[in-house]
Amino acid sequence: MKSPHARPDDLEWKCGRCNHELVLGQVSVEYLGNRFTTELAKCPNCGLILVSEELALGKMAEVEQMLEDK
Amino acid sequence: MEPLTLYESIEMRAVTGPAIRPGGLTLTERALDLCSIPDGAKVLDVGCGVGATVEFLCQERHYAAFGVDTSSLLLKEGMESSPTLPLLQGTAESLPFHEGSFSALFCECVLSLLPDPASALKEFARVIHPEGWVILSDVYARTPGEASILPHLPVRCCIKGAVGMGQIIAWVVESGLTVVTWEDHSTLLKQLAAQLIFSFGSLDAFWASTCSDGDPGAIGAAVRRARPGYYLLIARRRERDHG
Repeated sequence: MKSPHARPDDLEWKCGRCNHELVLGQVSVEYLGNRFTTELAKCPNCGLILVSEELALGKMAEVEQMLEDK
Repeated sequence: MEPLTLYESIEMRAVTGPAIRPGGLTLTERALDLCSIPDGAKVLDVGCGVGATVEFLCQERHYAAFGVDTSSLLLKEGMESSPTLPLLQGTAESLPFHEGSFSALFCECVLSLLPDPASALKEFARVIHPEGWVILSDVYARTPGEASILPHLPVRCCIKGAVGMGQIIAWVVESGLTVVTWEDHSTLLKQLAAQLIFSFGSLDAFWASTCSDGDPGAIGAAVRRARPGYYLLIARRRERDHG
């Protein structure tokens, strides 16, 4: 039961700098010295990553809380 | 047919890669830095899975490494991808080797899965040379007082067997080994948990995927209370006990 990494809506965005349509790609996330990789919507030209509100308040918030737990 | 264990599942291995544990080969390399294992020595990996550690020890470090696992599924996969790897089917509590066969023995994220870890450790002490090395890495309960519920959780993964540091060290000492190193590497477990959150959507969703029944939220809460951590332990055989 895998969770989709990005919603279809995420791929309807265009990069504000390059005007390229976003694509799914591997990104490296680092927080509190912990590094992990995941697949998110990103600009294929400049690498800008889209962090949706759902992602920020969902998975990212849970990861943040888990990493901050002693 | 038995349901797949967590370490056999495709979803888990997609997160961990072939070395199915927190940190992959990180603690294998750390242990090799700490132990003076002679070049070309015979080394055993108990619970070798598809043989990632055995392959690393043979090809990168040039040891004569062997692997043992109970899972025919993982052994078959390992031998299909690397036919020359010496991987055997067997149990940790009854290893198919003579006394004193190995200079070092690795058991990585496996002791917590065993029904009788104390017997397995005695078997590890039997098959290593006098003054040989036993290298363990695994999950443990950083709040051992909350660990008694873990074996009763309806999940098929190593967290069920997590016990406190004191219990692990007691088993090691009772088996005739002396602990020379204990290091906490709980950061590696947290990094794996973060990957699982990204892959499954949340830790509750991960527990739901591994449990046969029960409330994933309650399982997650019970696990959090025990404060799972991850350790590296290095021990040596006490010669006077096994001479």
